[in-house]
This record gives sequence, structure tokens and C-alpha cells, in this order.
Amino acid sequence: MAPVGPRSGDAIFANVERVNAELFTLTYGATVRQLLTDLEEVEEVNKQLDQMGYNIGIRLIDEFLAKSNVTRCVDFRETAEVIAKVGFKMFLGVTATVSNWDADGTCCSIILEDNPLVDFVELPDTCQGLYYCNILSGVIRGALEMVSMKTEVTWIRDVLRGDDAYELQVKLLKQVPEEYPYKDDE
Amino acid sequence: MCMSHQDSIALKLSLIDSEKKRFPMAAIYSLYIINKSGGLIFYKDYGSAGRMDTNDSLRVASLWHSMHVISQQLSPTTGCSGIELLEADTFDLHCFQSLTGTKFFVVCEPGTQHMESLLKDIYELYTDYVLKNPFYEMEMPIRCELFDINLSQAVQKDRVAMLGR
Repeated sequence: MAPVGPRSGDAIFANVERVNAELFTLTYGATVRQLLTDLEEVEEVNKQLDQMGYNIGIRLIDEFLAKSNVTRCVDFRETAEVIAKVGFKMFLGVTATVSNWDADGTCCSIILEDNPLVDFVELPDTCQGLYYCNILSGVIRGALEMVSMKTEVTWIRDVLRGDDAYELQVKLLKQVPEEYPYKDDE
Repeated sequence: MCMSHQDSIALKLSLIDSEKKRFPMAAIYSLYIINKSGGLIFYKDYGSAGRMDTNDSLRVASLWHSMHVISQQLSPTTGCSGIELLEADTFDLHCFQSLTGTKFFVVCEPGTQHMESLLKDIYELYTDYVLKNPFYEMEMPIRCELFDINLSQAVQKDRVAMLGR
């Protein structure tokens, strides 16, 4: 059998099961709203969203790998490109761009022009500290952790806070080697 | 070479007959899924050959996990991802390891073709019906009805396709 090459984000997006975008947006909105009511503190909500995203990410990575046929990335640069071009397209139907690389290639920004999570959303004055899309950063962190990359994902720009785009900073903290046993002597 | 339509149909039928003789019964003996730390999280056998009790299947799973790791270290090529196919006299073992470390392997009749694509399909089913099941806990044994249903359909489809080849 000939090996199947990686599929493009568009091709996968056309084939996977989808839900109505507004239903998705409103469901997410309702979730955030409920968290704000339950947890009261905006900081706690940010944390909770990140945790929810993480739990999604550790499962979602397998679906991503199974359906996109991507193979092991050679470096973190390729990883970031794949997340932006294939990952975001496959799950959210939008593409992102990668920029602002630092010198040693371990830190970059993923910039979203279009974000389906925030349609119909306005932040009231009481929620100014809220990272509304914090679930996304959790998803990326969780997904990368399952393929042995410890990362830190933070929001740099957020349209809901008056910026002109959504910018996520992804910083590679360390790459955990996959080989067993992790240390021969211990 | 020119071949009439009827000839080609006759040829195809005789091919199917010979395939049937070669594969008189289920070609897949059993399916295993091992989590990243080597625990057996799913086992299912098909047909009578190679059937195992719970203890034996657990033993096979952990044995395979260790052999897979050892093979990676012994391999003369760098970046080796472990054994993909083990051919024995009475069975073949095809193994697929996802990048997240979960291993899927089937034990089947010697010479069975297209197991890689079946394993790939099973991986997709696992992501759709196991990982998306909110009651499933990661790394724990798989008890998901939808996965069972879709898995038997996939295996059935594979058998039909094999007879048609």
C-alpha cells in the first residue's frame, strides 16, 4: 500500500462531521457565562477555561493525528505551522498565521484574524480581566504535551480587549524524550 | 492484449474462488490496544483460532510492549519506531503505534494484506468513539458501546473487501 501523505486542512475540514457554527458559538458563550456565575472570580474562570481546554487537547491530538496523516515534525517551527494551517482549519474552520519567531526557534505567535468563538460577544466592564478564548490556549498546551512538548501558551492580543487581532504566544519549554526507559540508571 | 468483458468477469470470479480457498475463515484472529505505559486497554478475538483468556492476552500485550521498545533500541537505524510486522509460521502480527504512544495490533493469518489500513481505520474509530466519550477515562480499559459496534462493522467490511480482492 502506498503511504498516504498528509492531508490539507481544507480537505479534512470538508470531510469531518460539523456542527452549526452559531450553535457552537452560543454553547461556548453559555459555558463561559455559567463559569462566571459559578466561580465569580474572573481569574478563576481563566484558569478553569484553560483546564477545560487542556482536557480537550489531550484527547483531541489523537483525532488530529488520525485524520490529518501528519507525521512527526522535524522541529518546533514545523509544529507551529501545522497547528496554524491544519489544526485550526480542521477544528475551527479558520486558518492562522505564525510569526514573531525568536532567535532560537522556541517561541512564536499564532495570529488569528477570524475567530468563530467570539461572534456576538462583548465583554462587560466587570469582566475586563477575562481571557474569553482561554480554552484555545489550553487545547494547544494539552495537545502538544501528548506529543512530548511542554509548552506555555499565553494571550498577547485579544480583539475583545480592543486589540486588532487574536495573538497567542506559544513558548516551547522543553521537549521530553520519548525513549524508554527514561533513564537507564534509575 | 485484448480481453473480452466476459473473460475478465470469469477471471475475476476464479480469483475470488481461489481467494476463498486461501482464506476459508476469518483472517483476523485478534485485536489489541495498548496504552502508552504498556497496559492492555482493549482486547477482542475473532473466530476460534488464537483465542486467549484474560491472563494470556494481558501477557501478550505487555510482552509486545517491551519487545517493541527493545526493538527500537536495538535497531541499527536511528529514529526507528519499532516493529511493524512480525511474521511467524502460524500468524502475522501487524502493529501500528500512534505518535501519542498508543499501540494497536492485530494478530492475523499469515499473508493477510492491507492490515495497515485496517489499523489506521481502527485508530480513527478510537479517536471518534473512545476519546470523545465523556465517560471514558484516558489510559483506562475501553468499554464504549459505539466503539464496539463500529469496530465490528469495520472488521466485517475488511473481510468482505478481502474476499472481493
